[in-house]
Amino acid sequence: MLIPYWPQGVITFLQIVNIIVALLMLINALPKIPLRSSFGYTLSEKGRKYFLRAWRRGSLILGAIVLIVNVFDPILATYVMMIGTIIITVYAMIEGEKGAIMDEVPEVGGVVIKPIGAARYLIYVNLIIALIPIITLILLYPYLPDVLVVHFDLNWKPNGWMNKPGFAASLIISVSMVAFLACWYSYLAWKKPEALLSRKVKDPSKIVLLPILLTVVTAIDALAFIYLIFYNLGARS
Amino acid sequence: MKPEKEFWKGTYYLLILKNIKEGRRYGYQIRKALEDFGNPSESTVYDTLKKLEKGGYIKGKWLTDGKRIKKEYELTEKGEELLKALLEEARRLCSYLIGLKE
Repeated sequence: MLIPYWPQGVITFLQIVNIIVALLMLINALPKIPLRSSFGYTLSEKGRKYFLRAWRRGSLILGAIVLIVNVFDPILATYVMMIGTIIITVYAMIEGEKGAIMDEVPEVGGVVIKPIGAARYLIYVNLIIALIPIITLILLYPYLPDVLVVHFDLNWKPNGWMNKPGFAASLIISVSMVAFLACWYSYLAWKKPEALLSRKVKDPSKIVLLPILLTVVTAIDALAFIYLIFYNLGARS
Repeated sequence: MKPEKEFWKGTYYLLILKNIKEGRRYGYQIRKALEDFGNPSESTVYDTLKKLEKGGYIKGKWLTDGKRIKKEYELTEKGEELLKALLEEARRLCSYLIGLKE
């Protein structure tokens, strides 16, 4: 087991989530989900076909792998699920791009989808935001108590606790995952803006909104963890 | 290995550049035009287009009409030069094959 001190409840929860998602992948129910916030390539007939086909193939393989790994180590299965999902999304995007390029075009012309150069700064911003709580954790780790408050009720009284290694692992995984997503979408807006169009976002000028939104999510996540670190150190203000 | 397929593989850089020069600006049109020349797969045409774009010989831009997206290609200056150079090579090959001396 990678993180030996995680509470048993968290492991059971991860196991249940893994099994449900892996089974959904195996019966091909999951490929419909990413299309709700579809990538731009699915706006082409052949692009959509190729994107879905790649998603189905990838999901089947990943679903089977996660189910097997889950028997031995649910936490490792979670990592496999997260990294595998990223890999099959990238694979589906490459296939979708190929389909969109090779699709029959009935009409010539249209509005050019321009890359958003400024989106590259969002990558740096997200990396800095993600590093702040991680560095704070590393510097203050020896001073943190063995059991940390991680959740509050409506009256702001603690009602959830976690041990120190579990808290450190949650912080690093959570912050790096949201920061990675924000960086990836910022990169897409910068280099492959067409990928960020969807059935809902058809106006190229609105492409940058998603990376901005994800940057805000990274900032909130980082702030929440920094607050928890200082709360647990006793500096509540 | 199919020697006929292998023969055509090397010519796709030239044929794709020539097709774009002639006004076939979309992947589908280019592939249709190449059907008589070894009938390359979509992946072959796609990979060659990608390599040409990466090398700066062609420039692709994505367009949208509000409903769908498509990618349009055009030759760059570097591409025009490469096309000229490759055509010269092709002429040399043809001359040799039909028995003319340079």
